[in-house]
Amino acid sequence: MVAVDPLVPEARPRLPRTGFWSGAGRVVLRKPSRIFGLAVIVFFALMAIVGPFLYPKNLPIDPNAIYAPPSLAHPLGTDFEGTDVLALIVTGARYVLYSAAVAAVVTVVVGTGVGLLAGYYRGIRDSALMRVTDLFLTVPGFPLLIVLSTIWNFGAAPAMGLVLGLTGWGGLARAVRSQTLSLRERGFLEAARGLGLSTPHIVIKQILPNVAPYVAMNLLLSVTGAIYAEVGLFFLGVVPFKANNWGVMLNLAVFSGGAITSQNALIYLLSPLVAILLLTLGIVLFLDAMDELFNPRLREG
Amino acid sequence: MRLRLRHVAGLAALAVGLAACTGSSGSSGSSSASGSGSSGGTFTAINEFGTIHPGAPKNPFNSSGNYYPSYDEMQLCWLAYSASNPNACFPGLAKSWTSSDGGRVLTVHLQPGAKWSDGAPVTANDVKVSLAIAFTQGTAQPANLGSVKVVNSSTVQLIQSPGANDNTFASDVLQLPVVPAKVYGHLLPADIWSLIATSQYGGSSKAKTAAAKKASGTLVALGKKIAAYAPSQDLSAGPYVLSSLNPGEAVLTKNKYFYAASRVHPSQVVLRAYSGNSQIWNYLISGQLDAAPYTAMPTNILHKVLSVKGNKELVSRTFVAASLGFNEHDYPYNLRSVRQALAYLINRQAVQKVAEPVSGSPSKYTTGMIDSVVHDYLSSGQMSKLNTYSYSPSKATHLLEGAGFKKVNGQWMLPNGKPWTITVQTVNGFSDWIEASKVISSELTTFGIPTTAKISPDYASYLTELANGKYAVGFWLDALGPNLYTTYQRLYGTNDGYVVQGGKLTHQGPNAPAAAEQGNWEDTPTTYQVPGVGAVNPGELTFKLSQVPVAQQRAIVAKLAQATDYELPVIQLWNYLNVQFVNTSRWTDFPSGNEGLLNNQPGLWISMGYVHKR
Amino acid sequence: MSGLARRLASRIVVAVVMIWIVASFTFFLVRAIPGNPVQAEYETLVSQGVNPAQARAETQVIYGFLPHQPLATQYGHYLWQLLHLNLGKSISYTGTPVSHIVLSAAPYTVILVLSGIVASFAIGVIAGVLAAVRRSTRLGDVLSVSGSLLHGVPQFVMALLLAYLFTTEWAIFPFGAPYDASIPVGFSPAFIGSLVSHAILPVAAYALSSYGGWLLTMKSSVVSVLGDDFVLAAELRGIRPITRLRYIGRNAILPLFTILALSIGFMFGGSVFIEDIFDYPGLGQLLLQSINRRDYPLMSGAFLLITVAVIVANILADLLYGVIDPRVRKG
Repeated sequence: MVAVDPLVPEARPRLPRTGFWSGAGRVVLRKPSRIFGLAVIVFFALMAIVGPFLYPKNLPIDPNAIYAPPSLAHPLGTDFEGTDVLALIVTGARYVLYSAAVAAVVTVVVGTGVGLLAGYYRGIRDSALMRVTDLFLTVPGFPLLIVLSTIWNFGAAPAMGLVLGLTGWGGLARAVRSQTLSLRERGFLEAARGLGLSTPHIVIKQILPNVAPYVAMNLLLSVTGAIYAEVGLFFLGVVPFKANNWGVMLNLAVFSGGAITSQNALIYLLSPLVAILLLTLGIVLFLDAMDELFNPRLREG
Repeated sequence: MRLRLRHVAGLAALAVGLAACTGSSGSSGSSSASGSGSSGGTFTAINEFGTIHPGAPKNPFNSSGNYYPSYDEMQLCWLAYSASNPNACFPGLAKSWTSSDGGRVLTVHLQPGAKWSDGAPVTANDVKVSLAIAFTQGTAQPANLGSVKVVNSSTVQLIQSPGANDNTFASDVLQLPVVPAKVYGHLLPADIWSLIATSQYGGSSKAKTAAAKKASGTLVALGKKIAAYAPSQDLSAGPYVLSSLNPGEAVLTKNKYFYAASRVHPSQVVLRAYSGNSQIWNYLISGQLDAAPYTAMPTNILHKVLSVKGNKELVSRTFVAASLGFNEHDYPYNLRSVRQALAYLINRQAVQKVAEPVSGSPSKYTTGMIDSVVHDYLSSGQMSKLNTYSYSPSKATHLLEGAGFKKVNGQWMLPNGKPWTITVQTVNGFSDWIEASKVISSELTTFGIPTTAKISPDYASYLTELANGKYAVGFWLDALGPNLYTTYQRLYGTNDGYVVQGGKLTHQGPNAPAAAEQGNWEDTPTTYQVPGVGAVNPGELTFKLSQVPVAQQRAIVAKLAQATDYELPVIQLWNYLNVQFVNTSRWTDFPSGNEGLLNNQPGLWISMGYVHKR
Repeated sequence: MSGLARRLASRIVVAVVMIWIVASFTFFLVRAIPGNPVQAEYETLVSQGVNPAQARAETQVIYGFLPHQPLATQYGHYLWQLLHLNLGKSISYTGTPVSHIVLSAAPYTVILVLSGIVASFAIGVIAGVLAAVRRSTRLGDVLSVSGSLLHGVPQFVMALLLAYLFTTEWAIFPFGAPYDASIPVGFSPAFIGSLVSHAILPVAAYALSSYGGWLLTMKSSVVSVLGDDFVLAAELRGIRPITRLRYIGRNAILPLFTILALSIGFMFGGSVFIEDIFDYPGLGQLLLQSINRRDYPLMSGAFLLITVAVIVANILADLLYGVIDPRVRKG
């Protein structure tokens, strides 16, 4: 490794592990908004992991307290059957985050893989991969998901995540490819090849670390994208019903509670909305830290 | 959610009441105050088909066509869905009709002043052409229409097909749409009636049967062509004629040639399209609608709608109930005591309160009929014998223990020692069913039978899987009426393996090759032993309801009601109510209290002289 | 110019292949969908009070529109018809050609998507330049923050909020129809006014939910151009600030056009939500409707048309890019 480094002066040296984490800590702590962002992400992640254990498997209903206003017993009011909305939000977080995480992982793995290979090989393999990428980029993702929902039951979170990931990797693949190409232009690959390094070694050990920051940013971005898409699908009502799914809650609030039309179900509508907005806000704020961490130029400015 | 039982909304359009006309004549129904009050102005209502698509043809035979029954599409009469007389009808293009030959021949006299919107008279030939088209659409055959004879330009005879003995022949045929011969006539071949006659052969000659099959094929092919036909303009014999439309609304203007034009007050009707109930709520809350059909809504929306100036609620009954059905092919739902125990465990009041708070009432009886029809048909002595299965976990416990079930650590076990769990199947988009299934799951789980609600992605696949016996417990609409044959056909008809072929009743088990589209998923026993009634064959009794004179139906209905209440092939959860809204700040004199008219579209109210300018 | 023609030709070849793939995909997908439209229609009729035998007979006509040949034959037939721009016949509209239905819905979606893109692009770019130039002032901060916040709001959330605020809470804008049907269609002020007032909310939902993205991209693009040598040179040569801004803007906007092409697909996808929430009768609503009614031909027709629209828009954006950026034009 040491022998290689001087040959690639333009490639960013990777920070030592300890340095990276302390550097990351410093970057995050620099702005309160970043701390807030991180806190929100951690909060929702905890909610997804622990939430379902806090409540009974079948949430109690109360036909005498339908769309009840907020109270001590029900801080966010109740839904169409008198179930506590807060409980629904908390227990529903797992599906939303789990599928979004699966989607983000699939997006990143497929997108990075395709992008790296296309950029590395160039030529006919590059063209073929890029045509496929174009296809995925061009076919409008959301209508495609709606059509797919007719044959595929998205009731399980991993299935939903997989579909979202498989339809959403195009943009990342393109970006990774162009990054790889630019690394090539810098004579990076030729040098590595000249040293007789194997292809997997070059791709994994040399190129991947250099595109990693970009990929990491995209990981978070595709989490928000996936959340929108899945909540949207449930909102439209084309995917089977789950009372504690945030999208289903939005749908029920609007189309059977009349939250748009009368105030009673408004809190039932706002609760999942605010949850989604808060989560995405957290991610956006935290992204700022990632941006700085991986773009040293910004750190100075 | 989106679909929200749109079919129930449609039902409101079809259910009517009053004005008995069977063997005698129907008077040209006049209303309270006729003719008084000034005319003009726009009447805004809802297009009960939901969406409007300008690309679809202006053709009543197209299932999404741009035509509006009672406004610009007319029938000979408008069915009055009376529970006591299935043939009761409001006159439409027919002023009156008489039946002869034991109900086999119906002589129809057209309204003397009936004209199309171009001023040409509506003639007997228009009726004949329309009924020929009904054969190509497959709607005339089940009404048992055999042939049509033009007596003179304003009189036409409708004759039942040979061998048929249909007690609702009059209402079935008189409800078929009437279209102008000069627009649709050219689509039919000259030999259409001989084609129809050939297709109706029901004897045993092989050659003739083959010819009949071929003729039927020709008719279906013609039907496809006619359904897709797009006339260049709307020619209406109704009170209004279509003037313009876009995907959001259709504008209809008064047809000055309408036979009762002097009784029609609004000079223009705007029919708003809707794709979901929330849209109707918004229109109502902004006070834009003069009339809105049945619309499911939560209580908070109801209050908001009623707080708007001029908005009024009109409630009448509608012949639909929501039920929980069992597949008795599946253990343990084949056990009567299990079904009865479940009936005791489901608190129908709580279910209705959550699922259908505004436009439903909890079902008191499970008889296969809505509660108010039970009152019409059963004596108080008979009703007192019905079990109402009031919520009672202790009775359920007793029944289950009697059947060998045991409760271990708060969980009910089947007699074989395995835990008992239930999956209640409902349909995505039918929010009242989904909400009901959640309440039921919660109640049963609390009792110790872990129950989950499962949702099929759409109605089409729900029905397919239901018919294939994939669900043990699922939702079902029953008590459809008021025709009692239709009512009991929902329980002891094709879904229970009873098929009528060539005028004969046959029964197939659940494993028989699926008949046509529907399989036997109920799988009830063909004979019930009902205490106090004796042996009952529900399939045969139901079939009899289509044949015997109306007066003789009562005894059959009493038996079927008792048997259904005891055996519970389904548990009836709630009856739907036809809750409609009108706004009285622009128009007055709505047919409130007139159940027959309320269950019909406002076009009919208007053409009968209701709806005056304020 | 022959470069442009060659470029166009190759794009069209790729587009045709893409359309073929999408068409084939929907063809096979649609045939894998469970559920029988005939049965659903039958149930609907029966629950409307039609007697069972009659309902069964009526659905026979619909049944006649379902394909019964082997799959391969159907596929061949489908592609052959597609070449003739024939998308088959709708089931729920008993035999009305699908192309007729989708083409009459398409203009509404195009109106929304185009005005949405133009509005969000224009607002976003102008605000982005402002935010970059005034990045050290309060105005710049406010703009940037509004951009990041609105960028995070999904389209359907924005649409719901607008619908609640402006059709119910303050019933300012009409909804539920693309224009007032009692006004005759034509180039009259009344008709255009009605069309515009009905489209304002959906377009605003588009514009508000996507201008943030443009703002942020434009801002960072302007910031990076500001550091370029030519800006310094222009400043040194005493070129007026307004002219300099034009240079900067022209250079900074280029990268945005590549994103524009990508965003078109996103906008068309969003039409499903926006049209659903505002009951606007475009392709998105048609797609949802056809799925609910299991009208396979209509569903694949609507999906195919949305895809074709995106592909065409991409080609146009690509050509536009070529016209704007001389470097691409020559290449």
